[in-house]
Amino acid sequence: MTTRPDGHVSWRRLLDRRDGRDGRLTSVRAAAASAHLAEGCAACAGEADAIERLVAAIAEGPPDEPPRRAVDSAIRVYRESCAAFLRDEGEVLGVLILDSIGEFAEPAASLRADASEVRRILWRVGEYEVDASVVGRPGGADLLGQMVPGGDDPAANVTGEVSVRGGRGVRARTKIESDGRFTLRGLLPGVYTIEGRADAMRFVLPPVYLG
Amino acid sequence: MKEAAAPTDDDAALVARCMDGDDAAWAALVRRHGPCVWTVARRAGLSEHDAADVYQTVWRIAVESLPRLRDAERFPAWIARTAHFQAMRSLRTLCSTRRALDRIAPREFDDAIPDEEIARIEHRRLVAEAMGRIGERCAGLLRALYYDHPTPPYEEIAVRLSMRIGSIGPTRARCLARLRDELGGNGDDHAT
Repeated sequence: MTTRPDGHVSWRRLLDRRDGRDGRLTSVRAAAASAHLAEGCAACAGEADAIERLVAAIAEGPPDEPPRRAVDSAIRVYRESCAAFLRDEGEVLGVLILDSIGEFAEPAASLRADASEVRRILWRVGEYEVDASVVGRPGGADLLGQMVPGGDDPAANVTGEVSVRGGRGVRARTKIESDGRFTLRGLLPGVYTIEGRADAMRFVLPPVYLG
Repeated sequence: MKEAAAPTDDDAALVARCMDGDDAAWAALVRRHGPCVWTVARRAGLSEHDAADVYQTVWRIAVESLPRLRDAERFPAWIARTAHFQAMRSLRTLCSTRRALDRIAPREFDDAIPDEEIARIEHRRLVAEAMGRIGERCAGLLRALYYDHPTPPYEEIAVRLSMRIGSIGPTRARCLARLRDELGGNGDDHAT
């Protein structure tokens, strides 16, 4: 019933050998299975390990559930953070082109309280590029950006304004200087959407964690 | 109208739906991986209150990171590492405050969480999900045999699950094989 034609120990017999509780495995068969494993059969050892991992995972149970209030709050984060980006009121939506912390680097790495660490982010929105640096400071992050218009005219000016919106509305707003630069200082840690107007274009960028 | 996110949707599908503005997909991601985030934060030694702060921060970072998640299959490992990093950051802050107050010695913190630890937590989640797909009788038997402490005697299990004592052993093997198959293992031809 539990013999495999290829000479390996069957999964069922490995399980009986592990549990050894209900006496289904005779001492002779148990000894034979142990001897086979002692010979160094990698396949059977792998199956025995898989059984151990499976049983251990059942024994440990599922990972602990967080408090319901924390879950509900985390679910709300999405709607609050993305509302500006998803509201579809005719703004041109920005696309992330580059983020110096990388695709799967720890985003938190940008949050270390070391003013020398600067995070660089580049978005494209319509014909413009938004080149921004985020500098973490004890009193909150500074966002130093520049709207760069498309085209070859190095003297092209940009007019408009930029604001950052958190879950509870606009947190800061500033005008875009004639050279396209803008600065927002002292942003407390959180997810923001950056939105505004550049010349005649109203735009909104994807949510970004600033802190 | 968008379809509701199904529990079986993989992470890549859920992330894609989140990018499309589907908050049901986001809720599914939070419910699926929230326990891992919570477990990592608590495992680091944070109190429930501090772990809740870390939990919120991690999900805020996750929202912001959605556009960068080009390989969303790696989402579980990514969010576990982010949770660990944030937990260590929180501990550093807490301990530096305590050091200042109590003049205690600095403590070393490891920013990296071992891959095996992440894999173990993720495996626990996958096994728990798979337990929900093998039927209550099987799941009840496996819980009785391997989860309950102390393990109840066969007589009690037999009464609880309305089965003969002699069938507990073979049923256990079939149920474990079914669980293994639900997790994507080999066929159960070796289990009989």
